[in-house]
Amino acid sequence: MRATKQTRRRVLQWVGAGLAASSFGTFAPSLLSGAIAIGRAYLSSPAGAGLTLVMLRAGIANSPVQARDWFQREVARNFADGDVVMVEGWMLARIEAQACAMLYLEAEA
Amino acid sequence: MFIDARTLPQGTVLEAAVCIVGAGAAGITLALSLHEAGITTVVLESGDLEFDGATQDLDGGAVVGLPNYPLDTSRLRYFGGTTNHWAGWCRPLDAIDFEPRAGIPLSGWPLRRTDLVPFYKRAQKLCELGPFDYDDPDAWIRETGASGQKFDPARLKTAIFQVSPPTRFGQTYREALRRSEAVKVCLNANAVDLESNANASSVDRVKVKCLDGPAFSVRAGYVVLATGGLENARILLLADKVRPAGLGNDHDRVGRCFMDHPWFRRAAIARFTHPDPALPLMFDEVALRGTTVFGTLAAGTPQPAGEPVAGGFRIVMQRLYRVIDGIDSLRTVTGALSGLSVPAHLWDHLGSILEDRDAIADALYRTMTGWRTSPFAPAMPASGPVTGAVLDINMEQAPNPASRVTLSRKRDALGQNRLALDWRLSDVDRETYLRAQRMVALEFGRLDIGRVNAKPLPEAGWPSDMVGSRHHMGTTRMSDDPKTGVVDATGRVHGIANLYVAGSSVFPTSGYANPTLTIVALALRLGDELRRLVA
Ligand SMILES: Cc1cc2nc3c(=O)[nH]c(=O)nc-3n(C[C@H](O)[C@H](O)[C@H](O)COP(=O)(O)OP(=O)(O)OC[C@H]3O[C@@H](n4cnc5c(N)ncnc54)[C@H](O)[C@@H]3O)c2cc1C
Repeated sequence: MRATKQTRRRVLQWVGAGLAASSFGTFAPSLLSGAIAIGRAYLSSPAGAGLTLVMLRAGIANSPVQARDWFQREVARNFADGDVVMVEGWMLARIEAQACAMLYLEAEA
Repeated sequence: MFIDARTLPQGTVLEAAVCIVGAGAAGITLALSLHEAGITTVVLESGDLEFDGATQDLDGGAVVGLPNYPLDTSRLRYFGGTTNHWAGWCRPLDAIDFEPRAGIPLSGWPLRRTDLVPFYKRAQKLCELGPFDYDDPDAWIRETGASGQKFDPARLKTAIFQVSPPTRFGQTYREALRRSEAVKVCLNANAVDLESNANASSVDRVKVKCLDGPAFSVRAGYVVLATGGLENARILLLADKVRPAGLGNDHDRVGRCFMDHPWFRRAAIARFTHPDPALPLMFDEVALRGTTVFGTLAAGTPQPAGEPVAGGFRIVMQRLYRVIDGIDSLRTVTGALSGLSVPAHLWDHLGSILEDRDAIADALYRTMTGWRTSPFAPAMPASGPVTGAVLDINMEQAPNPASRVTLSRKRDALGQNRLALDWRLSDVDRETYLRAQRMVALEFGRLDIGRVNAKPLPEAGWPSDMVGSRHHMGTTRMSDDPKTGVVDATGRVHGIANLYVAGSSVFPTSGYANPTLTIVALALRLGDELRRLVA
């Protein structure tokens, strides 16, 4: 049970980092900590409160490569639809903020 | 021909078909047009051929509303006017700027853009620009060998600006006017009053005073005020002998609806997803087709459905070679502290503030002084991959009758009441600022150019580093209806047969473009009108 959780967590971190990298390409060195900080801020904002992790429901952890394409499409779609959230001044696609939140939750777990 | 008005005998009466008051971009353009037609014209210019402090002081006044540049430094009072130090950025207004817009009271000109296009084309030449081609930015971009971004046209577009050398109207056109037999330019001649007939339906003469010299007057069939966006209103308000509220002011419109282009420095920072994104013309002025051009991001049209009503904007970008976390953090910390709350994650923020303290000192110094360089400038690479950009927002101000100039009690050396400028912005302007930030964030995100960190507006009021652009507009606005405007579509003051106004004071709305190309185009149009009337 414990081994399964560790693996799942590592996969999630890896997927999350990949997803965040596809959004924040230039900032790869501080990527994980930056994304985690954004996730933390998002969760403590009114928009992020009570967030359910849609990412998990989408089953992305099972197929990271497809997940990345899916994520990029979702990000573009959020921006096209105007579905953005403000996190510490950053205007992010809702799905991006959710990905960061996932990273934060996993980092805390 | 040039005359030093100080040499005229006291009480002289000069006669001409047309009297133009003021020799800046508008006055000189009009004078050239009348000179071509051989129409006798007297141009009254307050200053001499060179700058003089005592004359410049006549422009002094109070700034009592939102902070703006002092009135005596935001314009120049000698032959050539403020074009003696303008920067030369030129662009016509967009078609949407001329149209009435739902939710923006008093919007809409009594002209369409197509009415002005022939005059814009002629204005291009006077401002020493290239072809009148502003509507196809991709054509300019292709010439750079790059390809631009496919912005959603309702959200954002590339706006092309051309850069004048910049034309110093007082130098470039001095010889033509010196040689003119029809046009007499009187230097050191301050128009101080407009004497009208008994029912103020026409102006009989313009009264003039020199600072050290005689008083005299000009009688002309037509009088044109071309003294700049503030002084045009001042002269009308001062002409209070027959109409106590001033000429053209029967409906209390003169001086109201003052507009500038509010300029918000560092209104946002963009971090690019990948270095060096394709944003051709956005960062540099480039020589193309015999002129110099650059681009800015600007408001798309029509505004996307469902967005709050807002005005036009442009976003001027400067490259960042290294993104500075500390400045973002400083912004968060000071923003939270000024709202008396402790920001979340203070520890992280303080860390990045300490790391980037040179960059922060530099940014603060430059913000406070308005200078472009500072002794604290960190060793930042001036080249290398561009990883982000600082975004300034420069935007349209919606017409607002409460934003105005009035006569103050203070007087100048000629005994004339000085102006007080009460600059005010409205809720529509807040939406315009937010729209600019939101549109660039959405489009940078959608096209995967990068992400935008937006500087919030204070809950009430405006950021302390907001400045104007020294573009004074709207104080004698144009409208078909005398209840909502001072001049009609030709520039004639409502109710006065022979009095006209030239310059940006007649703009009913301001768009986001710099005003001078439109000022020159309107002056050429008025020139044609006067040529027709005088003939
Ligand atoms: C620093 C700066 C940079 C600018 N950069 C740009 C730019 O890049 N692009 C752009 O489009 N615009 C720019 N502008 C604005 C531009 O300079 C003005 O729009 C333009 O000069 C206005 O022309 P005007 O003829 O209406 O007024 P002015 O050029 O101000 O001329 C008015 C003239 O009237 C005279 N006058 C005033 N009162 C009297 C009186 N009572 N009797 C007789 N004469 C009088 C004055 O002496 C002056 O010569 C800039 C302005 C400043 C200050």
